[in-house]
Amino acid sequence: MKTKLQRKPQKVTLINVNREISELIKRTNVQVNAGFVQKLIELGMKIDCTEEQLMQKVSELEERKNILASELKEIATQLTYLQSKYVGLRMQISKIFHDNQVQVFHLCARQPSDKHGRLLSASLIQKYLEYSKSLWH
Amino acid sequence: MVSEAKKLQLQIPTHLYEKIGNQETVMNLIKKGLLSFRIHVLEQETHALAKQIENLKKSVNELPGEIKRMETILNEMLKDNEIIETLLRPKKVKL
Repeated sequence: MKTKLQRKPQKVTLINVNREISELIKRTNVQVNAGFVQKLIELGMKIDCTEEQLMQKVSELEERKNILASELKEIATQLTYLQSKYVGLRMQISKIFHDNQVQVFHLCARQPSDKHGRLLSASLIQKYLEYSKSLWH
Repeated sequence: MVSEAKKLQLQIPTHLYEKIGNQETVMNLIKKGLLSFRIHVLEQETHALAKQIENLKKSVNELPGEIKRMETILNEMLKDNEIIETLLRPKKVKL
């Protein structure tokens, strides 16, 4: 029979934090439990930079993030415009293609009297037969 | 009235708290840890944004060529439509 090992609860000390730390915690968007605080302290011990240097880096990255976010928004708007133009064109083509295809079937049933008309008619019939196989592929 | 900042408390493993010795050092280490963590998150976020921008730029660069191709096809089909209609139009019989 398996025995379930229960971890002994870790002893913790409660400390009040100042507004600055409180604000930073809010921005982390993670659950700040004793384990996470321990990791933060260990991380703090490893870092050679000063607080000012770290804050400078945070501020630079936040600025870069804002610039990138606005660039992304601009490109997304541009892409949406181009995509809608592309989709609109495809719909127009699809409609005119079907109209032409139907009319080409009517052409098949007719035989223009002049040579030029017959050649034109034959080339259009051929063209729309090929289009129907390959246009959207 | 107690402010929200005053109300926020953190749980610190006691053995770690005792090892460090004083609250001020603990607070400084937590702050440095939080700043490093924030840097890490921001680096990931900016990297993801840059990647997204790169991907969107690819599509933005490809689409004008595709639009041009579609416009050419559409114009050609419109011309075909005119020709087909002319060919289908019944010719006037001279009396």
